[in-house]
Amino acid sequence: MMEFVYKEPNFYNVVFYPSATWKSLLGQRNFFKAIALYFFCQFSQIIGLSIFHREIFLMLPLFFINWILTVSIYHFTARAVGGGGDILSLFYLWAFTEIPLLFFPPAIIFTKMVGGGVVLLFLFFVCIYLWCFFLKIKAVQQVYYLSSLVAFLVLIFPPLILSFITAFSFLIYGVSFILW
Amino acid sequence: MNRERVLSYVLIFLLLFCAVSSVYLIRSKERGARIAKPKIGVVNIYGTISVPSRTTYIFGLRGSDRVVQQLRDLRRMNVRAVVLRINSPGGTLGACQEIVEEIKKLKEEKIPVVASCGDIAASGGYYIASVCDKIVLNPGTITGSIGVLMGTSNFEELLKKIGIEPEVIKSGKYKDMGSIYRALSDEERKLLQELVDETYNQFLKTVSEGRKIPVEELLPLAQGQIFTGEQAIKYKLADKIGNLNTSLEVAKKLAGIKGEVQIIENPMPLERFLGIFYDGAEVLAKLSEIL
Repeated sequence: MMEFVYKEPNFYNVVFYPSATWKSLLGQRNFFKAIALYFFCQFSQIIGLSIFHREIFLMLPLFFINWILTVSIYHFTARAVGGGGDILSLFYLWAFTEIPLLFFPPAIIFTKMVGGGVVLLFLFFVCIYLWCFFLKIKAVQQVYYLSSLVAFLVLIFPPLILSFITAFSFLIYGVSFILW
Repeated sequence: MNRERVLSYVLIFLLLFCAVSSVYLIRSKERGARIAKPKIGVVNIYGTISVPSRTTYIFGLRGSDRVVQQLRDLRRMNVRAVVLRINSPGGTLGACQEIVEEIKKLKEEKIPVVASCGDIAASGGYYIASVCDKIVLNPGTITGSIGVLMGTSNFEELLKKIGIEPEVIKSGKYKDMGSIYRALSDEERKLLQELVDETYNQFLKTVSEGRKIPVEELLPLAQGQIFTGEQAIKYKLADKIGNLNTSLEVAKKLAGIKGEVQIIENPMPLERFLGIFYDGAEVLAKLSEIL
Protein backbone atom coordinates (compact mmCIF):
# COMPACT_ATOMS: atom_id res chain seq x y z
CA MET A 1 0.00 0.00 0.00
CA MET A 2 1.38 3.40 -0.98
CA GLU A 3 2.11 5.78 1.81
CA PHE A 4 0.75 9.28 1.26
CA VAL A 5 2.97 11.64 3.22
CA TYR A 6 2.66 15.34 2.49
CA LYS A 7 5.23 17.86 3.60
CA GLU A 8 4.93 21.60 3.82
CA PRO A 9 6.46 22.97 0.60
CA ASN A 10 9.48 24.84 1.90
CA PHE A 11 13.08 24.74 0.73
CA TYR A 12 14.28 22.46 3.55
CA ASN A 13 11.65 19.85 2.75
CA VAL A 14 12.24 20.11 -0.99
CA VAL A 15 15.91 19.28 -0.43
CA PHE A 16 15.58 16.63 2.27
CA TYR A 17 12.12 15.14 1.63
CA PRO A 18 11.72 15.66 -2.11
CA SER A 19 9.18 12.98 -2.87
CA ALA A 20 6.77 13.96 -0.11
CA THR A 21 7.11 17.69 -0.76
CA TRP A 22 6.62 17.35 -4.52
CA LYS A 23 3.13 15.99 -3.86
CA SER A 24 2.19 19.24 -2.13
CA LEU A 25 4.03 21.30 -4.77
CA LEU A 26 2.15 19.61 -7.61
CA GLY A 27 -1.05 20.84 -6.03
CA GLN A 28 0.15 24.46 -6.20
CA ARG A 29 2.07 24.48 -9.53
CA ASN A 30 3.70 27.88 -9.25
CA PHE A 31 5.54 27.95 -12.61
CA PHE A 32 7.14 31.31 -11.90
CA LYS A 33 8.91 29.81 -8.87
CA ALA A 34 9.90 26.74 -10.91
CA ILE A 35 11.45 28.85 -13.67
CA ALA A 36 13.32 31.03 -11.17
CA LEU A 37 14.59 27.92 -9.36
CA TYR A 38 15.66 26.26 -12.61
CA PHE A 39 17.72 29.27 -13.67
CA PHE A 40 19.29 29.62 -10.21
CA CYS A 41 20.29 25.97 -10.39
CA GLN A 42 21.81 26.38 -13.84
CA PHE A 43 23.74 29.46 -12.73
CA SER A 44 25.06 27.58 -9.72
CA GLN A 45 26.28 24.88 -12.06
CA ILE A 46 27.96 27.50 -14.23
CA ILE A 47 29.61 29.06 -11.18
CA GLY A 48 30.67 25.59 -10.10
CA LEU A 49 32.28 24.91 -13.43
CA SER A 50 33.86 28.40 -13.13
CA ILE A 51 32.77 29.45 -16.57
CA PHE A 52 30.86 32.47 -15.34
CA HIS A 53 31.28 35.01 -18.13
CA ARG A 54 29.16 37.97 -19.06
CA GLU A 55 28.24 36.13 -22.27
CA ILE A 56 26.64 33.35 -20.26
CA PHE A 57 23.43 35.39 -20.17
CA LEU A 58 23.11 34.64 -23.88
CA MET A 59 22.50 31.06 -22.80
CA LEU A 60 19.25 31.84 -20.97
CA PRO A 61 17.02 30.96 -23.95
CA LEU A 62 19.11 27.82 -24.53
CA PHE A 63 18.52 26.69 -20.93
CA PHE A 64 14.82 27.15 -21.41
CA ILE A 65 14.76 25.31 -24.75
CA ASN A 66 16.84 22.52 -23.23
CA TRP A 67 14.36 22.22 -20.36
CA ILE A 68 11.37 21.97 -22.72
CA LEU A 69 13.08 19.55 -25.08
CA THR A 70 14.34 17.25 -22.35
CA VAL A 71 10.99 17.09 -20.63
CA SER A 72 9.21 16.47 -23.96
CA ILE A 73 11.51 13.58 -24.82
CA TYR A 74 11.09 11.97 -21.39
CA HIS A 75 7.34 12.51 -21.48
CA PHE A 76 7.17 10.75 -24.84
CA THR A 77 9.32 7.86 -23.57
CA ALA A 78 7.36 7.55 -20.32
CA ARG A 79 4.05 7.48 -22.19
CA ALA A 80 5.48 4.93 -24.63
CA VAL A 81 6.19 2.53 -21.77
CA GLY A 82 2.68 2.95 -20.41
CA GLY A 83 3.09 5.86 -17.99
CA GLY A 84 -0.03 7.89 -17.31
CA GLY A 85 1.14 11.34 -16.22
CA ASP A 86 0.96 14.78 -17.81
CA ILE A 87 3.83 16.75 -19.29
CA LEU A 88 3.18 19.92 -17.24
CA SER A 89 3.71 18.05 -13.98
CA LEU A 90 7.02 16.67 -15.21
CA PHE A 91 8.03 20.10 -16.54
CA TYR A 92 7.24 21.60 -13.15
CA LEU A 93 9.00 18.92 -11.09
CA TRP A 94 12.02 18.92 -13.41
CA ALA A 95 13.06 22.29 -11.96
CA PHE A 96 13.06 20.75 -8.47
CA THR A 97 15.18 17.82 -9.62
CA GLU A 98 17.91 20.32 -10.48
CA ILE A 99 18.16 21.54 -6.86
CA PRO A 100 21.37 19.57 -6.15
CA LEU A 101 23.10 21.86 -8.66
CA LEU A 102 22.74 24.61 -6.04
CA PHE A 103 25.38 22.73 -4.06
CA PHE A 104 28.11 23.37 -6.63
CA PRO A 105 29.30 26.63 -4.99
CA PRO A 106 29.36 25.10 -1.45
CA ALA A 107 31.39 22.22 -2.92
CA ILE A 108 33.94 24.72 -4.23
CA ILE A 109 34.10 26.60 -0.93
CA PHE A 110 34.39 23.38 1.07
CA THR A 111 37.14 22.00 -1.19
CA LYS A 112 38.99 25.30 -0.89
CA MET A 113 38.60 25.28 2.93
CA VAL A 114 39.91 21.74 3.38
CA GLY A 115 42.66 22.33 0.84
CA GLY A 116 41.42 19.57 -1.47
CA GLY A 117 42.31 19.52 -5.13
CA VAL A 118 40.42 19.05 -8.36
CA VAL A 119 39.93 15.33 -7.65
CA LEU A 120 37.91 16.03 -4.50
CA LEU A 121 35.90 18.67 -6.30
CA PHE A 122 35.33 16.28 -9.18
CA LEU A 123 34.01 13.66 -6.72
CA PHE A 124 31.64 16.26 -5.27
CA PHE A 125 30.43 17.09 -8.77
CA VAL A 126 29.85 13.39 -9.53
CA CYS A 127 27.83 13.05 -6.31
CA ILE A 128 25.77 16.12 -7.19
CA TYR A 129 24.99 14.82 -10.69
CA LEU A 130 24.09 11.40 -9.27
CA TRP A 131 21.80 13.08 -6.75
CA CYS A 132 20.14 14.95 -9.64
CA PHE A 133 19.75 11.72 -11.56
CA PHE A 134 18.09 9.93 -8.63
CA LEU A 135 15.71 12.86 -8.18
CA LYS A 136 14.82 12.66 -11.86
CA ILE A 137 14.05 8.95 -11.47
CA LYS A 138 11.81 9.85 -8.52
CA ALA A 139 10.08 12.59 -10.53
CA VAL A 140 9.35 10.32 -13.50
CA GLN A 141 8.22 7.59 -11.14
CA GLN A 142 5.90 9.98 -9.30
CA VAL A 143 4.41 11.74 -12.33
CA TYR A 144 3.85 8.66 -14.51
CA TYR A 145 3.14 6.09 -11.77
CA LEU A 146 6.02 3.85 -12.89
CA SER A 147 8.29 1.53 -10.95
CA SER A 148 11.83 2.73 -10.12
CA LEU A 149 13.34 0.37 -12.69
CA VAL A 150 11.05 1.52 -15.51
CA ALA A 151 11.62 5.17 -14.55
CA PHE A 152 15.36 4.52 -14.67
CA LEU A 153 14.99 2.93 -18.13
CA VAL A 154 12.87 5.89 -19.30
CA LEU A 155 15.70 8.23 -18.35
CA ILE A 156 18.47 6.12 -19.77
CA PHE A 157 16.77 5.11 -23.04
CA PRO A 158 16.85 8.45 -25.00
CA PRO A 159 20.57 9.16 -24.34
CA LEU A 160 21.36 5.56 -25.30
CA ILE A 161 19.42 5.86 -28.56
CA LEU A 162 21.13 9.18 -29.29
CA SER A 163 24.56 7.67 -28.65
CA PHE A 164 23.69 4.74 -30.90
CA ILE A 165 22.53 7.04 -33.72
CA THR A 166 25.68 9.16 -33.38
CA ALA A 167 27.95 6.11 -33.41
CA PHE A 168 26.04 4.64 -36.37
CA SER A 169 26.29 7.96 -38.29
CA PHE A 170 30.03 8.03 -37.73
CA LEU A 171 30.26 4.45 -38.91
CA ILE A 172 28.24 5.16 -42.08
CA TYR A 173 30.25 8.30 -42.73
CA GLY A 174 33.50 6.41 -42.24
CA VAL A 175 32.45 3.62 -44.61
CA SER A 176 31.25 6.03 -47.31
CA PHE A 177 34.45 8.01 -46.92
CA ILE A 178 36.56 4.89 -47.50
CA LEU A 179 34.45 3.80 -50.49
CA TRP A 180 34.73 7.16 -52.16
CA MET B 1 7.54 29.69 12.66
CA ASN B 2 8.28 25.96 12.57
CA ARG B 3 11.71 24.37 12.60
CA GLU B 4 11.69 23.33 8.93
CA ARG B 5 10.86 26.82 7.74
CA VAL B 6 13.70 28.32 9.79
CA LEU B 7 16.09 25.72 8.40
CA SER B 8 14.88 26.57 4.89
CA TYR B 9 15.87 30.21 5.34
CA VAL B 10 19.22 29.20 6.84
CA LEU B 11 19.87 26.84 3.95
CA ILE B 12 18.93 29.45 1.32
CA PHE B 13 21.15 31.99 3.04
CA LEU B 14 24.09 29.57 3.15
CA LEU B 15 23.68 28.61 -0.50
CA LEU B 16 23.49 32.25 -1.57
CA PHE B 17 26.51 33.07 0.55
CA CYS B 18 28.47 30.22 -1.05
CA ALA B 19 27.38 31.26 -4.55
CA VAL B 20 28.47 34.87 -4.00
CA SER B 21 31.72 33.73 -2.37
CA SER B 22 32.46 31.38 -5.28
CA VAL B 23 31.88 34.12 -7.85
CA TYR B 24 34.10 36.43 -5.79
CA LEU B 25 36.76 33.72 -5.52
CA ILE B 26 36.74 33.04 -9.27
CA ARG B 27 36.63 36.73 -10.19
CA SER B 28 39.39 37.73 -7.76
CA LYS B 29 41.64 34.97 -9.14
CA GLU B 30 40.94 36.12 -12.68
CA ARG B 31 41.39 39.79 -11.76
CA GLY B 32 44.60 38.94 -9.94
CA ALA B 33 45.90 37.15 -12.99
CA ARG B 34 44.86 40.05 -15.19
CA ILE B 35 46.47 42.67 -12.98
CA ALA B 36 49.63 40.69 -12.53
CA LYS B 37 50.20 39.95 -16.20
CA PRO B 38 50.38 42.45 -19.03
CA LYS B 39 48.47 41.42 -22.14
CA ILE B 40 49.79 40.59 -25.59
CA GLY B 41 47.29 39.96 -28.38
CA VAL B 42 47.83 37.36 -31.07
CA VAL B 43 45.88 37.63 -34.31
CA ASN B 44 46.02 34.96 -37.00
CA ILE B 45 46.02 35.90 -40.68
CA TYR B 46 45.79 32.62 -42.53
CA GLY B 47 45.06 31.88 -46.19
CA THR B 48 44.12 34.26 -48.95
CA ILE B 49 43.29 37.67 -47.56
CA SER B 50 40.07 39.18 -48.85
CA VAL B 51 37.01 41.09 -47.76
CA PRO B 52 34.35 38.39 -47.29
CA SER B 53 31.55 38.19 -49.79
CA ARG B 54 28.92 37.84 -47.06
CA THR B 55 28.54 40.39 -44.33
CA THR B 56 27.04 38.30 -41.55
CA TYR B 57 27.93 34.90 -40.22
CA ILE B 58 26.57 32.84 -37.37
CA PHE B 59 29.94 32.69 -35.66
CA GLY B 60 31.05 36.25 -36.37
CA LEU B 61 32.98 37.98 -39.08
CA ARG B 62 35.31 36.34 -41.57
CA GLY B 63 38.22 37.37 -43.80
CA SER B 64 39.82 40.77 -43.40
CA ASP B 65 36.75 42.09 -41.53
CA ARG B 66 37.48 39.64 -38.75
CA VAL B 67 41.14 40.65 -38.53
CA VAL B 68 40.21 44.34 -38.49
CA GLN B 69 37.68 43.78 -35.72
CA GLN B 70 40.10 41.67 -33.68
CA LEU B 71 42.78 44.35 -33.94
CA ARG B 72 40.28 47.01 -32.90
CA ASP B 73 39.12 44.91 -29.94
CA LEU B 74 42.71 44.35 -28.84
CA ARG B 75 43.35 48.10 -29.02
CA ARG B 76 40.32 48.67 -26.78
CA MET B 77 41.49 45.97 -24.36
CA ASN B 78 44.67 47.95 -23.80
CA VAL B 79 47.06 45.21 -24.83
CA ARG B 80 50.73 46.12 -24.49
CA ALA B 81 51.72 44.54 -27.83
CA VAL B 82 50.26 42.61 -30.74
CA VAL B 83 51.71 39.69 -32.67
CA LEU B 84 50.31 39.02 -36.12
CA ARG B 85 50.71 35.38 -37.04
CA ILE B 86 50.84 35.50 -40.84
CA ASN B 87 50.65 32.44 -43.07
CA SER B 88 49.29 33.82 -46.29
CA PRO B 89 50.25 33.86 -49.97
CA GLY B 90 48.60 37.27 -50.36
CA GLY B 91 45.20 38.60 -51.20
CA THR B 92 43.30 41.56 -52.51
CA LEU B 93 44.76 45.02 -52.12
CA GLY B 94 41.68 46.54 -50.49
CA ALA B 95 41.51 43.85 -47.80
CA CYS B 96 45.22 44.18 -47.03
CA GLN B 97 44.94 47.97 -46.85
CA GLU B 98 42.08 47.71 -44.36
CA ILE B 99 44.25 45.56 -42.09
CA VAL B 100 47.22 47.89 -42.54
CA GLU B 101 45.07 50.86 -41.53
CA GLU B 102 44.19 49.11 -38.26
CA ILE B 103 47.83 48.21 -37.60
CA LYS B 104 48.76 51.87 -38.06
CA LYS B 105 46.15 52.84 -35.46
CA LEU B 106 47.80 50.44 -33.01
CA LYS B 107 51.18 51.97 -33.75
CA GLU B 108 49.76 55.47 -33.27
CA GLU B 109 48.78 54.40 -29.76
CA LYS B 110 52.38 53.22 -29.20
CA ILE B 111 51.38 49.55 -29.21
CA PRO B 112 54.17 47.61 -30.91
CA VAL B 113 53.12 45.16 -33.60
CA VAL B 114 55.29 42.18 -34.54
CA ALA B 115 54.75 39.99 -37.60
CA SER B 116 55.42 36.31 -37.12
CA CYS B 117 55.54 34.58 -40.49
CA GLY B 118 54.91 30.84 -40.81
CA ASP B 119 55.26 28.91 -44.07
CA ILE B 120 54.53 31.82 -46.33
CA ALA B 121 54.07 35.58 -46.09
CA ALA B 122 54.18 36.69 -49.67
CA SER B 123 52.64 39.55 -51.64
CA GLY B 124 49.68 40.84 -49.55
CA GLY B 125 50.96 38.81 -46.60
CA TYR B 126 54.28 40.62 -46.79
CA TYR B 127 52.49 43.92 -47.45
CA ILE B 128 50.83 43.58 -44.03
CA ALA B 129 54.02 42.37 -42.34
CA SER B 130 56.01 45.29 -43.73
CA VAL B 131 54.06 47.86 -41.68
CA CYS B 132 54.76 45.99 -38.43
CA ASP B 133 57.55 47.15 -36.15
CA LYS B 134 59.46 43.91 -36.54
CA ILE B 135 59.21 40.91 -38.86
CA VAL B 136 60.18 37.52 -37.47
CA LEU B 137 60.23 34.56 -39.84
CA ASN B 138 61.65 31.07 -40.28
CA PRO B 139 64.75 30.43 -42.39
CA GLY B 140 62.58 28.69 -44.96
CA THR B 141 59.57 31.04 -44.92
CA ILE B 142 58.59 32.07 -48.44
CA THR B 143 58.27 35.81 -48.50
CA GLY B 144 58.58 38.82 -50.78
CA SER B 145 56.63 38.70 -54.05
CA ILE B 146 56.31 42.46 -53.86
CA GLY B 147 54.23 43.35 -56.85
CA VAL B 148 50.76 43.49 -58.30
CA LEU B 149 49.20 41.34 -60.98
CA MET B 150 45.96 41.37 -62.85
CA GLY B 151 44.89 38.75 -65.34
CA THR B 152 42.11 37.81 -67.69
CA SER B 153 41.59 35.21 -70.40
CA ASN B 154 40.42 35.69 -73.93
CA PHE B 155 37.97 32.96 -74.98
CA GLU B 156 36.89 34.74 -78.20
CA GLU B 157 38.30 32.10 -80.60
CA LEU B 158 37.04 29.20 -78.48
CA LEU B 159 33.53 30.65 -78.35
CA LYS B 160 33.56 31.12 -82.13
CA LYS B 161 34.56 27.47 -82.61
CA ILE B 162 31.64 26.21 -80.57
CA GLY B 163 29.26 28.62 -82.23
CA ILE B 164 28.66 31.13 -79.44
CA GLU B 165 28.62 34.78 -80.28
CA PRO B 166 28.29 36.91 -77.14
CA GLU B 167 26.26 40.11 -77.39
CA VAL B 168 27.26 42.86 -74.98
CA ILE B 169 25.27 46.04 -74.54
CA LYS B 170 27.29 48.60 -72.66
CA SER B 171 27.03 52.18 -71.50
CA GLY B 172 30.69 53.10 -72.04
CA LYS B 173 33.50 51.80 -74.21
CA TYR B 174 35.49 50.50 -71.24
CA LYS B 175 32.60 48.84 -69.42
CA ASP B 176 33.46 45.32 -70.61
CA MET B 177 37.20 45.86 -70.30
CA GLY B 178 38.85 42.58 -69.31
CA SER B 179 35.88 40.54 -70.48
CA ILE B 180 36.59 36.95 -71.53
CA TYR B 181 34.59 37.48 -74.73
CA ARG B 182 37.19 39.58 -76.53
CA ALA B 183 40.83 40.63 -76.56
CA LEU B 184 41.99 43.80 -74.82
CA SER B 185 42.50 46.83 -77.04
CA ASP B 186 45.80 48.74 -76.77
CA GLU B 187 44.03 51.60 -75.08
CA GLU B 188 42.48 49.27 -72.51
CA ARG B 189 45.78 47.50 -71.93
CA LYS B 190 47.35 50.91 -71.24
CA LEU B 191 44.56 51.81 -68.81
CA LEU B 192 44.90 48.54 -66.91
CA GLN B 193 48.69 48.84 -66.87
CA GLU B 194 48.31 52.30 -65.32
CA LEU B 195 45.99 50.80 -62.71
CA VAL B 196 48.48 48.04 -61.89
CA ASP B 197 51.36 50.58 -61.77
CA GLU B 198 49.37 52.82 -59.44
CA THR B 199 48.61 49.99 -57.01
CA TYR B 200 52.21 48.78 -57.30
CA ASN B 201 53.38 52.26 -56.29
CA GLN B 202 51.06 52.16 -53.29
CA PHE B 203 52.54 48.77 -52.35
CA LEU B 204 56.10 50.06 -52.79
CA LYS B 205 55.41 53.19 -50.76
CA THR B 206 53.93 51.18 -47.89
CA VAL B 207 56.83 48.70 -47.81
CA SER B 208 59.37 51.48 -48.19
CA GLU B 209 57.89 53.43 -45.27
CA GLY B 210 57.37 50.35 -43.15
CA ARG B 211 60.82 48.89 -43.65
CA LYS B 212 62.54 52.28 -43.94
CA ILE B 213 64.18 51.32 -47.22
CA PRO B 214 64.35 54.01 -49.91
CA VAL B 215 62.19 53.22 -52.95
CA GLU B 216 65.22 53.20 -55.29
CA GLU B 217 66.88 50.58 -53.09
CA LEU B 218 63.67 48.57 -52.80
CA LEU B 219 62.84 48.59 -56.50
CA PRO B 220 65.24 45.78 -57.56
CA LEU B 221 63.84 43.60 -54.76
CA ALA B 222 60.27 44.39 -55.71
CA GLN B 223 60.02 42.79 -59.11
CA GLY B 224 57.73 40.04 -57.90
CA GLN B 225 60.53 37.67 -56.87
CA ILE B 226 60.20 35.53 -53.75
CA PHE B 227 62.79 35.10 -51.00
CA THR B 228 63.53 32.66 -48.24
CA GLY B 229 63.54 33.94 -44.67
CA GLU B 230 67.31 34.11 -44.61
CA GLN B 231 67.47 35.99 -47.91
CA ALA B 232 64.81 38.41 -46.65
CA ILE B 233 66.97 39.23 -43.61
CA LYS B 234 69.99 39.70 -45.86
CA TYR B 235 68.02 42.22 -47.97
CA LYS B 236 66.60 43.92 -44.84
CA LEU B 237 63.08 42.83 -45.72
CA ALA B 238 62.81 41.11 -42.33
CA ASP B 239 64.46 41.43 -38.90
CA LYS B 240 64.89 38.15 -37.12
CA ILE B 241 64.80 34.38 -37.58
CA GLY B 242 62.45 32.68 -35.16
CA ASN B 243 59.07 31.12 -34.49
CA LEU B 244 55.93 32.42 -32.78
CA ASN B 245 57.54 32.24 -29.34
CA THR B 246 60.47 34.32 -30.59
CA SER B 247 57.96 36.83 -31.95
CA LEU B 248 56.28 37.01 -28.53
CA GLU B 249 59.66 37.63 -26.94
CA VAL B 250 60.36 40.39 -29.47
CA ALA B 251 56.94 41.90 -28.75
CA LYS B 252 57.63 41.78 -25.00
CA LYS B 253 60.94 43.49 -25.50
CA LEU B 254 59.43 46.21 -27.69
CA ALA B 255 56.68 46.79 -25.13
CA GLY B 256 59.20 46.85 -22.29
CA ILE B 257 57.61 43.89 -20.54
CA LYS B 258 59.59 41.74 -18.16
CA GLY B 259 58.25 38.48 -16.79
CA GLU B 260 55.10 36.60 -17.71
CA VAL B 261 52.41 37.88 -20.03
CA GLN B 262 48.80 37.03 -20.66
CA ILE B 263 48.25 35.97 -24.26
CA ILE B 264 44.91 37.00 -25.72
CA GLU B 265 44.23 34.99 -28.82
CA ASN B 266 40.57 35.62 -29.26
CA PRO B 267 39.17 38.95 -28.14
CA MET B 268 35.76 38.47 -29.80
CA PRO B 269 33.06 37.93 -27.12
CA LEU B 270 30.93 35.47 -29.08
CA GLU B 271 33.88 33.20 -29.79
CA ARG B 272 35.00 33.38 -26.17
CA PHE B 273 31.46 32.34 -25.22
CA LEU B 274 31.43 29.43 -27.71
CA GLY B 275 34.85 28.45 -26.47
CA ILE B 276 33.27 27.59 -23.14
CA PHE B 277 31.80 24.47 -24.73
CA TYR B 278 34.96 22.95 -26.11
CA ASP B 279 37.56 24.24 -23.67
CA GLY B 280 37.00 21.45 -21.15
CA ALA B 281 40.71 21.21 -20.40
CA GLU B 282 40.88 24.92 -19.80
CA VAL B 283 37.92 24.71 -17.39
CA LEU B 284 39.76 22.02 -15.41
CA ALA B 285 42.96 24.07 -15.42
CA LYS B 286 41.02 27.08 -14.22
CA LEU B 287 39.43 25.05 -11.42
CA SER B 288 42.78 23.75 -10.24
CA GLU B 289 44.09 27.33 -10.34
CA ILE B 290 41.22 28.50 -8.13
CA LEU B 291 41.68 25.64 -5.71
